[in-house]
Amino acid sequence: MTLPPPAKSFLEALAAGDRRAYGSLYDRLGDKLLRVAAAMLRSGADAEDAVQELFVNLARNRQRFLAVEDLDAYVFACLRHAIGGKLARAKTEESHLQRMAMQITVASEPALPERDDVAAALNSLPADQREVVTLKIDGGLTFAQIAGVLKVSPNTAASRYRYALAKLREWLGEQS
Amino acid sequence: MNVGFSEADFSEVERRLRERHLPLAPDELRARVLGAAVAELEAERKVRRGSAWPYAAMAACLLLGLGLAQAAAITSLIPHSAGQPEKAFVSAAALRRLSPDLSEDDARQLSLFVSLPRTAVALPLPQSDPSPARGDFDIRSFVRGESK
Repeated sequence: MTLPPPAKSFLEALAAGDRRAYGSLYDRLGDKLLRVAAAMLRSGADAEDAVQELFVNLARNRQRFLAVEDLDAYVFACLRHAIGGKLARAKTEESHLQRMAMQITVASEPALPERDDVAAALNSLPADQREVVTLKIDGGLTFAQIAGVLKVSPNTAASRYRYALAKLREWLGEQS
Repeated sequence: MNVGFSEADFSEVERRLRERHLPLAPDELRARVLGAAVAELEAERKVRRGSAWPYAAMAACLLLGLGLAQAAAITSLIPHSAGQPEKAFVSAAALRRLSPDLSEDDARQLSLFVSLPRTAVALPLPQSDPSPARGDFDIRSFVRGESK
């Protein structure tokens, strides 16, 4: 469900570094942010780290709140940036390990268990489609907001969503 | 692939997506996330406060320097050498050694003149003073305690 836009004074409080405003922001979006991050990173611990990193970055660049028109879209765009950074670091680390051909066992957290078919189906989607689905379903954003987050047109966002859901329905139909 | 479905065609898929398992936010996550954000805010404020000290110190040094320079300028206006006639006499003796033709008075006047600060201005003696002649300058008239 899409949330009503916050008052301008709320954005000003965030820009001023008001602690209570950051608490309110977490209460407003925290669960949704965590769900989207978990769906994209496939790790609960990494998702928590991404949300924490997001809030630190929001506090660090808090003056930008004054120029924000859509708070939710802005915060999810920042989350996407944090997730992208984590994925890039993980990829670099992985390729580095492969290059070095190190025979080590990395004690990393296992990926989220795919307890149901729909989660497995979602993970089988291309990243750009999975991103639109999770921003829509888990983040509760509109297509216009998703378009702002992904820097694509609303039509493109809607089209990706429909393609993804068609694939999911087909995949789930085959499973049942 | 046909993507021309109405939204109702996806309602079942959307329902299943919403109900799929995803980790719930642990209770301590809120405190951890907000703690990190507040720490960032505090750190930035401390840096901002700390970064003001060098500017304050620089401003204090500038003010001190200006004060000292002003004090030095005022001090240089005071004809301090006039208060040290014995030093002038030493210089007069040195002048006479260099130029024995100089009278004692001329050498003394010259040494006093040389030792005066640049800011001193030669003033004519009052007309009521019969000696030296009108219009002449007597360097001794500038020197404190050297009145005739």
